[in-house]
Amino acid sequence: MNGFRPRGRRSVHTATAIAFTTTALALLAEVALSPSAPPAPPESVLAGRSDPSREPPQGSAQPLPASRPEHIDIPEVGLSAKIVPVGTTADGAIAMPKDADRAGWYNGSPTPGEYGNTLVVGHLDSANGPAAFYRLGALRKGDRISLTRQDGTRVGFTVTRMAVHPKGDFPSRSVYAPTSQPQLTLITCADWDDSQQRYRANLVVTGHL
Amino acid sequence: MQKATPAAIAVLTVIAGGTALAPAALAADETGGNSLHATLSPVPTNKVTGSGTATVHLQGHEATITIKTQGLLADAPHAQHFHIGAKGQCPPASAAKKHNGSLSMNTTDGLPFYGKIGASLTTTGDTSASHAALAVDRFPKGASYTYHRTLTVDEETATSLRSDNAVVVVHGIDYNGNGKYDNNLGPSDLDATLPSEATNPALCGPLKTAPAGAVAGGMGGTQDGDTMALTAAGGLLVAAGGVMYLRRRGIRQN
Ligand SMILES: [Cu+2]
Repeated sequence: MNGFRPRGRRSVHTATAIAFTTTALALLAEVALSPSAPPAPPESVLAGRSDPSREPPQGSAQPLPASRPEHIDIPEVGLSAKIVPVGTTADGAIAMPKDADRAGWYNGSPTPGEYGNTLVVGHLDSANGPAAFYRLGALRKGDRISLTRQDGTRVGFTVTRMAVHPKGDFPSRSVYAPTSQPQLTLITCADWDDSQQRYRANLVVTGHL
Repeated sequence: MQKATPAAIAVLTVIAGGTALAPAALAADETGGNSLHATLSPVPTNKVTGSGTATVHLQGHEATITIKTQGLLADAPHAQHFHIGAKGQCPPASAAKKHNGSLSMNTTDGLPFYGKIGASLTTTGDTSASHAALAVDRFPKGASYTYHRTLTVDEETATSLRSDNAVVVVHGIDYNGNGKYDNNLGPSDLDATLPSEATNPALCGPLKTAPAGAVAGGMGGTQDGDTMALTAAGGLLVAAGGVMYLRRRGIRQN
């Protein structure tokens, strides 16, 4: 799906020690270069640390009227997805879109271009392969994110912060805090735990106008 | 199926060193209450350039409220309320009317959207809708302020808050920019002894349930195969004495 089709597994031949090593390196190279590898966020933001970032300027332009976001595009990392509205789950978390190829705008948050903290979530992967926010980890500070609203206007945000937070110690108050200026917060999963077969953390990307 | 994630290796390697760094977070509903957020935006047509935020934690009928504002008319009192019982929205520009010849929004114009007053967010004393609604000596003053108070709301207001139907409205505008409340828009629709500028809505924000906790944003479909492949490769490299190469390669990958 999405053109990220993995290549077939290479069989491992064992003959001499040299062949052994060569095969290992070849397999590793294939693994490392496979286009299906989810991009990692910058090392500096892992383990709950977040990049220091300047605060957005106060008192900037007048906000746009409400109009819900319908599409997200981040050309620099090849991310392009439709956005659907989502609510919350029974335990209060932002619900995920049923279709993993779509991103979800939390319908209790402002629409992009209004004042406030616009919250958009997406799957990193489905059970079968890459999903809407698969490429989010490839973002870096300064990259541009474009949101297209139902009224046709586009609102651009610049990435100002990236952070990875453990799910069990997630700083909800700061991530979801209302803001007086337009802010975009993108959230997906990070940190695969192979023994538990689950992601242990969330990647949080923050953008400002 | 083989899908690679040296990224996963990188994340695991780095995170293992310091998981305790993130600040502790209280889940929104840890205490059984409701946490609500609002962004306060200028009411259209009223020539307001300010902004603000509001957070409310509701426990039964006890509402703990924090409101932060900026850019309002300085040195002037700003009446503020929970409005309830309508659409739970802020009025669009199309709700404005001509008042004393000037297109603007008075409190009545916005009622179909944010509804009637449910509670008066005074600094001290009475907080009821009926008696304290325009108690100008007991509302915050100034261009920028932080308001914090715990007060008791009635059943109707509590229900409105819980159903994402309540709206924070901060009043008091300076339509003609002369630095004070005057009668350029005529008398107030709420109290004819006050100028309309003193009671017109300035900032407005619908209160919505704050999300709690991390999201479930992945099912691992790009991970399962990888780990096998990486384990295979890693095992071979260990045999070849090259495990450090694997680690460095994994971390560098983006
Ligand atoms: Cu009011």
